[in-house]
Amino acid sequence: MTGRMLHAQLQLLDRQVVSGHSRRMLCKVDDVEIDVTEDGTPYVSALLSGPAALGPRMPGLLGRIITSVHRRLHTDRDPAPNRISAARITAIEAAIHVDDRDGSLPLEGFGVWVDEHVISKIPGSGHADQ
Amino acid sequence: MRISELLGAPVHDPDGESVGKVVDVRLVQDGPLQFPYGAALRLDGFIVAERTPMRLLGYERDVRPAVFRFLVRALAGTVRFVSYDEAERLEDGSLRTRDRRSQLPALDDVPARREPID
Repeated sequence: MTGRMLHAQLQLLDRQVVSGHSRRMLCKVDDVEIDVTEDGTPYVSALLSGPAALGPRMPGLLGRIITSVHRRLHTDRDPAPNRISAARITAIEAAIHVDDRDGSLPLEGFGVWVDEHVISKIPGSGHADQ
Repeated sequence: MRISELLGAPVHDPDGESVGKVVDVRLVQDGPLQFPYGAALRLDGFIVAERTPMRLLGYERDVRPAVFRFLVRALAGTVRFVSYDEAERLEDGSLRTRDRRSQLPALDDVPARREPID
């Protein structure tokens, strides 16, 4: 696929990221990280997701609210966005397919936070499978 | 650097004349090798719309329906392509081109695809 051309805003941003292995939906592409090689070539080094990536992208008050609420709820003082290395991308189609076979993708989303701080505190939640 | 820092950035030529704002970033898959996907996506250049910093939704290209293409082009004005090598990023986040505005190619005049690199 060498030489393929893409438009970042049109074909990467806000696209669904899915597991290339299990087809499970993982996250959305909220931003794209650009790195520069030693010889000065800029290239896509990672896909970023989560409120820490989406907040700064949103204009005005909405962006500030997303960023500040996320910072308030996060355990880190200055939380970084979830980062998927571009080396894990296996295909770019309608969705972005990534290799997550080892299960090490750092995708701690809002769902995990709700699970830990809300769901787990509801009496009987530990027996949800019964 | 993030793509979102580039989108919407104002672009000026060496004379200080406005070229427009960055509405999209063009990537070409011929960058450094990143296995297993192959070559990384290299930042090739910037798509700059003269008037409205809006999402062009792909209609800046020669795609149908023609009425949408006409509307998008009417709103966006001239859409130009500025190569990464031809642009300098200033401290305030804006871009300055090396060529004058009149010398910058319209997006339609830039090949949509490049031949694979051997």
